[in-house]
Amino acid sequence: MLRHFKYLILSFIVYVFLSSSSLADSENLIRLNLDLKQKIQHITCCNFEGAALKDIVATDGYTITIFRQNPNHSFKAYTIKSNDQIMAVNSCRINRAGKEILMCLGKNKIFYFSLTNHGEIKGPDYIKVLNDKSIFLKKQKSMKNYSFVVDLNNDGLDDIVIPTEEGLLISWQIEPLVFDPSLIKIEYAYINSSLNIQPWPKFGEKNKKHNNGISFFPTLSKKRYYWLQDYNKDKLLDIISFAENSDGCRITIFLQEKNKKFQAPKYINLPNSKHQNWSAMELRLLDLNNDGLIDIIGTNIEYPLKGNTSLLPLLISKIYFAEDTFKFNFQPSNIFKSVCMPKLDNVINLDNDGHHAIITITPPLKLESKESIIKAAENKEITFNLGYYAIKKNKSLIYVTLSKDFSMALLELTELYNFRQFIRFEDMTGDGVPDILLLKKTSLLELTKLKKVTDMLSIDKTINIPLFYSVVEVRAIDINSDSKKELLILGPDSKRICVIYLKEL
Amino acid sequence: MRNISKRTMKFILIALIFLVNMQFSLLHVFADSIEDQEINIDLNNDSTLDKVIVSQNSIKIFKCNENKSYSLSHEFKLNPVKFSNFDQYNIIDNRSQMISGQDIRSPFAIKHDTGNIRYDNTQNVFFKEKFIIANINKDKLLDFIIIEEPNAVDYEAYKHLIYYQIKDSLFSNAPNRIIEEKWSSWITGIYYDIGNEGLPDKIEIRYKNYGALLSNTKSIVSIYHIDKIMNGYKKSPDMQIVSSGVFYEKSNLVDINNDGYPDILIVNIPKKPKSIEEAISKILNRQINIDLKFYLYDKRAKSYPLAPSFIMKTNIDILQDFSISLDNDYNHDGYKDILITQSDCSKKYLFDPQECQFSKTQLK
Repeated sequence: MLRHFKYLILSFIVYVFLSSSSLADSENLIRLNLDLKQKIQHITCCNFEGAALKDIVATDGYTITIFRQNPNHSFKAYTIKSNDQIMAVNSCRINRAGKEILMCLGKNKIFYFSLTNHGEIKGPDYIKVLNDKSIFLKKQKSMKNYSFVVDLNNDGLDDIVIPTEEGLLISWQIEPLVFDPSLIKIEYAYINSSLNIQPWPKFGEKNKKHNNGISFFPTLSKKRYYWLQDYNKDKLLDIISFAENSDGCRITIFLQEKNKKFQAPKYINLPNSKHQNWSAMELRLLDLNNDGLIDIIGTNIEYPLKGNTSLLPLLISKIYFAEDTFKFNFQPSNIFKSVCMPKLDNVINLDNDGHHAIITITPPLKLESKESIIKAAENKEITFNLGYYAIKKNKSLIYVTLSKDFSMALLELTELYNFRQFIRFEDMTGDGVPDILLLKKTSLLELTKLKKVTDMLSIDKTINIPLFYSVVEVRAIDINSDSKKELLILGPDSKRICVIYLKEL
Repeated sequence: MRNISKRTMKFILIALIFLVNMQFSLLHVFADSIEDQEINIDLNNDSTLDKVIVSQNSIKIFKCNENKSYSLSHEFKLNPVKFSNFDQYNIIDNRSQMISGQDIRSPFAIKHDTGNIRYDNTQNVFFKEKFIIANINKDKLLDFIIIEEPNAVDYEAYKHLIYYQIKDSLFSNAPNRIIEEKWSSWITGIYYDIGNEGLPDKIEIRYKNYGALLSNTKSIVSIYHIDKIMNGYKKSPDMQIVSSGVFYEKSNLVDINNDGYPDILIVNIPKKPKSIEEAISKILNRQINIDLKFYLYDKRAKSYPLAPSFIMKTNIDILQDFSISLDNDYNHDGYKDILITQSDCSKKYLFDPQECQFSKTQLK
């Protein structure tokens, strides 16, 4: 009897050890810590059972730790080993009910792990790629994980998109776990060869005494640049690529047809002019005035004071409205400054007439303002103007201020050099209005909830989320299918994932 | 006399043409094809430009002869490799300003964020090696360094093959010296023969609290000599200067006191305000005092002093870029004078060899 009791206690201890630790630090949030022995290289969420609760998967390259989520805000950890090195890991939907498998990208191979009917993890099973000659491009060290799974044709089954030497390898999932590979050839954005000559040593009076020495390393570069986006609003993802040439640049659009094929490419030519260098811009394609035509927002980055200060970079965006399909007015209709890139996640439909708004943060108060300097010095933070640019019917832009007191820690004043601030737009409640996630200080994450009132935006509430350790990364994802997103925070030394359920959202 | 003058004029003209040609060559070497790119540089210090022809498989060195013809004097064999990579693209991340959006260094991949995640994949055909042409052993002849990429066994071990020029653009087939280093910094780093011993010393600059507007930067200058027995640099530095300010790369290791040894300049902008009032006045009044700290090489001790040999104070506009030049001799006394330029305004100070520092009054 005593032995059984001992076993029961031991089992309980093991369960507590394997499961997450739960910290209820306020009534409004539940915080769980998922600890790992090894440094995490890749994280994803996977709905193995297709049920309401998603599991969290972390790998260090060979070891996969699966945190199975339980209904009572707890997790149980399982560990499996992979013989093949995992270069990237994504979840992949294999039926319309939402059941997912864990898809891994290895060195020139794709394999997956799935859940058996008995609740056990099975794998690896390998997916046949197009042919042996399709060599995946080497992943750069700077990139830790890579999204290669996406539902291209909106059929509820995720497909695989991987860059290869020839172009894009697309494996269409035609029925659960049956993939049909094909190759889309994409032209090179540019081909450049160079000796990369520099004076050596690098310091010294440049342009005067090259005969002190030179260094060089010859290269021949071919570059492709592309992304996926539903260009023609048919709910099928299209491939958009971008290529520079001496006269300007060219956007190539591969529209997807319904038979898992792409049309012959359509082109948008953007010639450079005296005042406009398209290749220096970051381009976003969006229908901003709801006329059914895709417009262009081009953004240039500028640094205040020639980069001599670490004040935030200034983004200068120009809007080019489309005149017709694939035709643009090359004179910008509007120019605006911000510190956030206008992207798909901060541009919203403002009203029923299709007027759009670009939620953004305008540049910090000018240095000449005595108040801003005092505040910066006292609080070690910089103040922004939070608001949005509303695009009117006549294509004019009106800035509406939401808060003049939106602040974040100024890196220079904190003297915390590994601290990485961010401002990110996340629709936390699925109401179609992006909310603002701001890593304000090392110890504070701030969520500013926005709401739409008739055709205006306003601040609904601000939620402060205290952090107890330095944060590597924060992501928002709905892991329990309650239509509200939870926060996954990667903690110190990338060995801890903190899960935060926000009750007050 | 007339003949000499004509000859001198001819020489100056030829030298000028070569100089212009050299500048042009260095600036316009970026051709469409990687095949047979040409660098014109005077390798053997005879005032004529020799040719370095870089092709896919070799580097050929052609010496310019007296009759202006070229003859092949050496050939280095090369190993080009094909390399491909891909990256998620985000304009701000790309510029190391992690302020918004996706961070490519993040281990998270929740789902493909369509439209926002962009892929940028590159195929490079490049040479495994990197090259430096420079006078390493201070014999006025340019030498050749080939930096080999690490092998598959040890990713950190870089080999530096040094070929000293024998004479007339001739090099031996085997390297004269092989230096093995972890984390090669030869391309971007500073190597300088400080002690005039014919071997390049390695100078490493590290910063503590490196920042801009209101932070306090401290630079640590570490100097490593080559250990002749180990044929490499020692693990710990032979000398070190720790000083508030930044190592002024644009004009450093210049011999200021004419003793034949390079001196070090640290520029200290006292950035961190001691009070809020100081912070405000610093930005509103724009003018701040900066310290130029000079460390003169002590040839007896064969090292730099721990404290600056002398400090020069000057005043600049905080919101404008400034430059310091030590490549001047305004009074033709053989000593380097200093020029501080900011926008259209410049200040000149002469070096006083008696006081062993720059004069306190500006040169008008």
